Amino acid sequence: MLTISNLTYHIANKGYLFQNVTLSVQPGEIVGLTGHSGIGKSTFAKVVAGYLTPDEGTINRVQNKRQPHPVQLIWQHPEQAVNPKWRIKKVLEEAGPIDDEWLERLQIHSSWLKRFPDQLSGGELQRICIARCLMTRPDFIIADEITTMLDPITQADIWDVLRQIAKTESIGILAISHHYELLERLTDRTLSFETLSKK
Amino acid sequence: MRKQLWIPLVLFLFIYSLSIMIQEESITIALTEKNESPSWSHLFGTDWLGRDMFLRTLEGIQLSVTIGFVTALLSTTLGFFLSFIASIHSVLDHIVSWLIDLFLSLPHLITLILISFVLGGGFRGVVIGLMLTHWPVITRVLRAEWLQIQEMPYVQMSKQLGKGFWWRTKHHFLPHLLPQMMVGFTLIFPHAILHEAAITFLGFGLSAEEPAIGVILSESMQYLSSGMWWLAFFPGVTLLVMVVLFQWFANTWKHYIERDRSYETYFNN
Repeated sequence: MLTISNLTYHIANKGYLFQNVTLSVQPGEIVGLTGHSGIGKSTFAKVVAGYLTPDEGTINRVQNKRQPHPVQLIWQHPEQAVNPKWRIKKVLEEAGPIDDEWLERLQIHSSWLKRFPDQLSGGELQRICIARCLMTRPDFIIADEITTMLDPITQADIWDVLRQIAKTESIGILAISHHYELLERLTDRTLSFETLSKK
Repeated sequence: MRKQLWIPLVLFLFIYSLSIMIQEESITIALTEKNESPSWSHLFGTDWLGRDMFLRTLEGIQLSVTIGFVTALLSTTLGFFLSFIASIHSVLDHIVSWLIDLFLSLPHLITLILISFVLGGGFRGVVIGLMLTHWPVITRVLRAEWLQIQEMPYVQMSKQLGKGFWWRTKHHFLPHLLPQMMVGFTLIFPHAILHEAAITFLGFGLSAEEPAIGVILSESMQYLSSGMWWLAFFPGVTLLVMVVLFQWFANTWKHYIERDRSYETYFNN
């Protein structure tokens, strides 16, 4: 279980972004997190995934040295999350040896592997990022607006696969989105970040 | 494209290897042939001691190119290390930035003369002086690139995927910085040659018995007024030709490595 307790984070000269956020995610559970723009959902995601250090509070999953972080973050913009000078093969190999099972489940065509990131569409690239994330065998995934820039059909495709994977591999997913209806249909429970971070 | 790259490089290397093959002993004093204007037996004429100016010019070119190469290499290395230091911590970054501003605020030539004079001139003095004055420009570029790539999401992600600092340096940072370093190197090279000639001409650089272009030019000053134009003209033009050849190569090379070849390789497969 991923347990986040009393997480507090402040931005220099701007005061607290959020205070005392407590949240837990079970393995295999999909939890939605929604809220207005600019209240720190993405920063919260980065703190939990280990990109930023919190001022206070604890997270029970931390990265061991030279090991992938057990909580992996999938970024909103896949084109920023891959090195533009690398072929897709190398992008995927950064997470470890390529596992064909994931490529198949995410419908990644093997001919894409020798392309460069700018030769794939947004949805294709996002699937690459998801595959890379899954190859590290994470316990939990934070999906930060991962389908916001995609069309409804691609969105449905990606979430279908991700939901299946969450159930079969019992990976807990924290899905962050503005899209309340999407979260309602997708998740086991949906929380509002405003209520969580109330002072 | 290929031709633009190879022609200047081959010409440059040809002149340089020609100058290496010349032995210093073949430049002899022959007072019977002094002050001769350019002819087929002496292409660049002879000086007031009857020495062949063609051989002297090539000797000078050899020294200048060697100095340019060594200096450019040292400056680029220094720039790389300083930009690396700047990327470690913001305090170190402030120190490096301050040093860059300090050196950029002084005119190159003044600092160069000072450093070279303090070190007693000669090959060592000139090289160290050139190295210490030519690093700021490339350091500034490399520092900016390094700070930028450190902030890129895919680099931060690499850490979360379990990759250590050296792995990231080898696979993310160095491939990103290498083109900048090569361009920086090729741009410093002609600059250093010209500055070496300038400082030697002013008398603070290489000593008078060394056959540098700067020495040749400053010596010829006394004879120019008596109509011996070839003493300054040919060495000057040769230096210019070498610098232009190298810059021609450098420009094409820069375009060559900056070009986006991703589609090319994809369609060729």
